[in-house]
Amino acid sequence: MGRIAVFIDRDGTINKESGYIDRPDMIELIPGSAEAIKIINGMGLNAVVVTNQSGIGRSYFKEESLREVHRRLKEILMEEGAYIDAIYYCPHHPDDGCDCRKPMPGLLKKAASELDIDLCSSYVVGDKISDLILAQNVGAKGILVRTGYGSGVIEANNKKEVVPDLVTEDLLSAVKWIKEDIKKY
Amino acid sequence: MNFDFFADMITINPDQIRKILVRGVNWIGDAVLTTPALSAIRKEFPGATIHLLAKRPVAELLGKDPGIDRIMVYEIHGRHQGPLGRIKLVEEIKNGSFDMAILLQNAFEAALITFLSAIPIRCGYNTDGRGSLLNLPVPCTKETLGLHQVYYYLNLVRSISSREYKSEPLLRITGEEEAWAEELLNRSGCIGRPVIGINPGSTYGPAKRWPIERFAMLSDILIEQHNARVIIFGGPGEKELGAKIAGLMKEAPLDLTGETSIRELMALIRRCDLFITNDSGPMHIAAAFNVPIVAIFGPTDHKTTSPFGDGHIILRKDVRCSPCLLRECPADHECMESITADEVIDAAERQIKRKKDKRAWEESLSS
Repeated sequence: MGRIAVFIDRDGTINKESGYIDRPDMIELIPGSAEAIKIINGMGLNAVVVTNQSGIGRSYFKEESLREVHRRLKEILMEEGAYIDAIYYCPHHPDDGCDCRKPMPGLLKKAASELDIDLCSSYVVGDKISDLILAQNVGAKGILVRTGYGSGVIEANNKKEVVPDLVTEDLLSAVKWIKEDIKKY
Repeated sequence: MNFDFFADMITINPDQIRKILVRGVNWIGDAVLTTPALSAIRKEFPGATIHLLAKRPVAELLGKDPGIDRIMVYEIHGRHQGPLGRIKLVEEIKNGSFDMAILLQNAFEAALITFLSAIPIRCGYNTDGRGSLLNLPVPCTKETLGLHQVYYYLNLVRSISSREYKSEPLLRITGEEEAWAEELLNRSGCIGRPVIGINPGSTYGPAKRWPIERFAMLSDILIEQHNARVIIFGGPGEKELGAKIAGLMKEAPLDLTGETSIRELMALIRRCDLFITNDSGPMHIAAAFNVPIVAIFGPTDHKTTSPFGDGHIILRKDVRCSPCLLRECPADHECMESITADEVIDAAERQIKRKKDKRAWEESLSS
């Protein structure tokens, strides 16, 4: 059996939602994010960021700018003792019809094969419906956080198109729940 | 960003800048895409009054922009025409005693005028051989040139700042303008019907135009399918184009080509439920007001001038010669001809469905 990962959405889940983030200085952590990732590290799970970055496909910024943003994200988390195992991003325009833009499972499948991850024992945490559908698409558990766009999603999801395994305040409370949930297995 | 480049140039203290002259760009569409840069200038120099030097249409477009305090109209066909006119312009700028000039427009002349006007700090991209006229030149790399225009302009301001500004193109209209548009639409048979704007022209030249017969056919079908009211928009030079389309249609559209001022155009486009357009200034106006767009691209580069934001549909064909950026097609205009009416209708239907779904969603939230 492969390893278990917590797949974490980036904007609105780890760092504050701020439109298209194309410069390192625009990254601002949501309080508790670093502590949450530290707990994931401590449990021996993989902390993997999965993010849609269509700003590249839209020519708003270059891949190199995104790499700088990600270097900075890792750096500020590291300063607080939190470690990201990997960051996977989809650079495509929504109209490109790629298989990696969330909720398509491409990024997770790539991570699964590269990092030897057992997707159906893993978790996806995010602030959008697409994160929940992504979880459903690979058989992982989906957790919706109220940070970022999350609180809007919770109200709007009254048609119950996807049922989250948990709706919670933020990444930190999500990870605390995972810590308990994982003991059941 | 590395600021060493400016080490031997000039350093600016935003608090000491009291009066800024911004040379705006010349085209309406480009001007919409400079609005994030304008708002960044405002934030970077909170204590400065900001004067915009621009030709009349752009001056009108941005006249009520919160990033601008005063407008200086560049009367290129009027009092600023010719060498004597330019001298007059230089005199007028000199009288303004500006502390700084920021050149959004890329042209040698823009730099020359601010140089001759003796504005102490002159900032702009280091293009068009004007590096020596600027004392705060910003290098324009190949990478910068490949970016969407919104970021191209915004990055100019970011490179003289230590802050990272973000923004989306934003236009504003007044309550009065809004009421005027509402009243016009109400007495033009738009009540209770979805309003679809079509923009069949393009000031730049005919190469950007999709065949008008197809615009007419598309309009007929959308009227039939959705009880839509179709408005034809266009500039003063496009009246004939509008009349031709109207003549081909089964139900008379509201043909406003050449009838609207820039401000009126903005207020009316804002009220559209859908905007079907060539790559043009009105397209960018629609995007700034978050009106769903179906944009038909031919000879221009959809990467750098696409409508900014989410949810717009861009139709284009990968033909060998595109983007050529020519005003007139020297060949068979394949880039535009190969986009069928059916494809555009299909895209319009998708936008209408999306808008309906969104409305149902919002209604479910409020109930």
